[in-house]
Amino acid sequence: MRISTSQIFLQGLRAIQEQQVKLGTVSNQLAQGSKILTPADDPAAAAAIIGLNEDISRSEQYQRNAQYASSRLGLQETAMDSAIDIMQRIRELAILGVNGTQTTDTRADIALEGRQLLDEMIALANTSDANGEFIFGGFQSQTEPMSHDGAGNFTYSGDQGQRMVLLSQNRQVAISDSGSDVFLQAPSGSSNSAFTVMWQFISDLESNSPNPDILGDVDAVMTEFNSVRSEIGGRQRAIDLQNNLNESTRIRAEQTRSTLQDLDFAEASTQLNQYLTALQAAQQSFAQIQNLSLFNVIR
Amino acid sequence: MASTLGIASSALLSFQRSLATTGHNIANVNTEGYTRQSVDYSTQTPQQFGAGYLGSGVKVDAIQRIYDDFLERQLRSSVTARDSSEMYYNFAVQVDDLLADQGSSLGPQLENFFSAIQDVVNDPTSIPARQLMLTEAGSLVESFQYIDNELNSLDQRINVELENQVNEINGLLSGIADLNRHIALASGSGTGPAPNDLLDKRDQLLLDLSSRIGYSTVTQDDGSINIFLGNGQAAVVGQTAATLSVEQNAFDPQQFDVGFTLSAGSTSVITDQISGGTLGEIIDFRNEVLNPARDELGRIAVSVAETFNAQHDLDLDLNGNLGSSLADFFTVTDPQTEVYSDLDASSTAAVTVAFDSSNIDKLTGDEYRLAFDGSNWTLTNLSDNSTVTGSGSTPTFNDSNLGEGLTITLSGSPVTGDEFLLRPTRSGSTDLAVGINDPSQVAAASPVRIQEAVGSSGIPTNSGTGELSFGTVTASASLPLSSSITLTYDATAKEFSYGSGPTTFSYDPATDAGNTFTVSGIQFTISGNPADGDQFVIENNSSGVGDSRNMLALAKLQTGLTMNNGTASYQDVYGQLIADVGVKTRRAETLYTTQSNLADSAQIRHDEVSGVNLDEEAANLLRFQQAYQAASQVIVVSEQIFQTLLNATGR
Repeated sequence: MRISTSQIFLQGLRAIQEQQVKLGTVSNQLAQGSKILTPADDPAAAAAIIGLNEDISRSEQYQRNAQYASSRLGLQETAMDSAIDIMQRIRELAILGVNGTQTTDTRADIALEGRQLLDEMIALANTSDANGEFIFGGFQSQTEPMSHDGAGNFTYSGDQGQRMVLLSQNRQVAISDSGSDVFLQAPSGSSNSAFTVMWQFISDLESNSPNPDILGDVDAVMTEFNSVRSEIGGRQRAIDLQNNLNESTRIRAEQTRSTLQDLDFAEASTQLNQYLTALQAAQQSFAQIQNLSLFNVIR
Repeated sequence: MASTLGIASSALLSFQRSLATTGHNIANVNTEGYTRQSVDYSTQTPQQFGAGYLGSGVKVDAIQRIYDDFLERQLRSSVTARDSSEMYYNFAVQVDDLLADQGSSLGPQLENFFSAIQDVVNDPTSIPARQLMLTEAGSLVESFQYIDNELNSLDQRINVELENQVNEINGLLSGIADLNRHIALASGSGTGPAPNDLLDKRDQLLLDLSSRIGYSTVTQDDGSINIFLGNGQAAVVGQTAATLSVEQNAFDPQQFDVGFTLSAGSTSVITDQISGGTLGEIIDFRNEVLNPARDELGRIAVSVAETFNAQHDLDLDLNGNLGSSLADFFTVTDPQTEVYSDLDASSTAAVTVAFDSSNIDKLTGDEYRLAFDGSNWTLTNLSDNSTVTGSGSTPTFNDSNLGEGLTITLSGSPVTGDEFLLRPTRSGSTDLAVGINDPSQVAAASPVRIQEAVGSSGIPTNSGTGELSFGTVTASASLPLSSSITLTYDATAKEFSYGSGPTTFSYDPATDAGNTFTVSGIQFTISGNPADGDQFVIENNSSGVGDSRNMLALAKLQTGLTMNNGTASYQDVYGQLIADVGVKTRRAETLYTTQSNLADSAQIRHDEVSGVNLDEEAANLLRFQQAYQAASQVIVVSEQIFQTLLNATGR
């Protein structure tokens, strides 16, 4: 077995270069905190990371949607609470109104409050959000949905549309209820809406002929309002639930991504030291071997 | 006496040769491709005398290269493998980085675009949200074009690199042919001594050649070596070298081929026959990575645009105009620029290629060749060589016979041998554009709404629990509706009726609840128990600016399985592309590592035999010096003996 001089030189050089390449890679990994420097380092992981990034960004979007839905529904909830309060007050006034001690004048006073409550109710039906959209207008969110001619004729000019937002890939939630569904549903057995019930109450009092039957209608409207209110509450809970799911999906995806690409710093720094030692050894042995030559001895 | 002097002087001369050869070895210790030499001795023919044979000294037989032909060949083939995988890797890693880098990748752009769409779903009347969506659409288009541009400039670099390689190979081939001549001359057509240093030079050229192109060799009797490329194209025959050239592709002048010309003969294209070496790998990289990547990227661009447009066309914009009456959201150009022809001068054949929007999920990123055999056109998918024959000279290939998302129509009078090359999705990325720039033209709302019939004050009049979903519009709907459609339920007959006919369809709450029905191209589901006489109205969604149902449908395209025959989303296909390029890059990298090691060990084995070792030469120097001194001493001794004789007799 013989070896050529250039071979000794090249082998020594290559050993140094090899260690330098390893050092370069590991120091690059340390700098980027990632073990995948180019997708070719791990093609399957690189493709998986692309998918995970998409999952994460989508989960974040779904969480933004949920937040938006929640605040929209919150606005509706507040409106419904006020509507229920109004009907509660109407109920009290109705009981007060049928009392035999009332006179025409006192009934007119009660009717006056009733009119204010009716105006408030109409204003509620015309609630708009921060963007100026009427939340009870259905799809026609830029048209004021409820109007009253002052003579008991109420007109709803919206539609029955509901806006949906995505909470996950295959789950969507309604973030609006149309005024038609909320205010115009006739209490069963009656052809009246919340407004016509209120109008009836007012006109009965104004003509000094309160009808105790109105209480049934008022209760029916309140039942309707309460059911809308609890439905919204149900949606809010569903949003919270889905939000938690999205959050855990996102965390899981981030964990998987981290396993795929994040560097084990302890391991990498150990490697860095190993390669440094190996590089020094390679350099020293190169220098020593290059010093050896018969020509140095035979002069 | 005379014989002693003769013996001594033969030794002196021989050792001089050895010293000179040792010196030559030392001098060339760093010469690339140098093979160490040694001097072969043998005894001179002895002289016979009475008692026997008397030796008459030493003679030099030959100065030899210490050379192993097998090791030399092994070195060449391993150098070919190493350098070709390195070239492939260096190109492929650029594509890989480009596709997957967070900064340039398509992935984040698609995410941003669809996030912006969802913001419009949440708040369809917001002009800023719509504007953001248009801006993100523009960024998405730029991202497609940026990646494609980078790939295109790689393509141009490949053309430059092809020219470089071809020039270098030509230099090497003519160098080898030249050395063949010198070697034949110097060795007396193989009968004389071997011209060692010329052989070394030629071996070095052969080694350089092997890093550039795969070839085989045949050694001739006169010492010259013939070189054959690919399928046996004789690149060097004796003292004649062929020339390679860069030729424009017969179909696509932007794409270069390698031509081969043997001593003023005609030029033939040998691109497909070249294997191995940097030249072969550049071509392989172009065929295996670069072109498919551009085709796939273009396919994603076309799919995004076509599926998006199809949904957007069904929508109403903020002004209440139907999407189909406006400009397309994305502009898609039919791939007519990627049709290349190779036709007879008398041919009038022409082909039009169009994307088949309604079957766009079947679109492939493949290239196709159309060939006319005299009676029929045959369409060959070049990825798997599957063929479809269209009868006659003007056939149409579409979903019914091809089924790959394209409509290809031929016209004119073809001539036998006419060919077209089609790359339908190659320019998909560059042709993509955003077609609208007015945010109010982003169509978010559905053009129709379905609701319960209402009385004069807007109070719903139905008494049953029947409900209709909001309804979706199919392409067959004639929009806007000329008038509202009122569906009236007959609880006895368990059917809905509408129109002047009237038209009826049955709905039995017990069995049909939740089923989907279609009226005038509008789909909806019915649930619950409608009461007799209950009415539902399908009407134009006028003023429905707060409706974002169709934006919701657009948002769902992000994860929709709209590609690969309805099995993959845009991101899936892009992920596959990255993985595919990554695997090829990784394979080239692994191959390079393995082949470098193999080439190193081939070099080591080669050098073990042929390389110069200075310590060995130092020892040889001592050995021959001592032998030379000893031979000189023989001359001194013989001279002294002669002097002794002269002194004795001269008295």
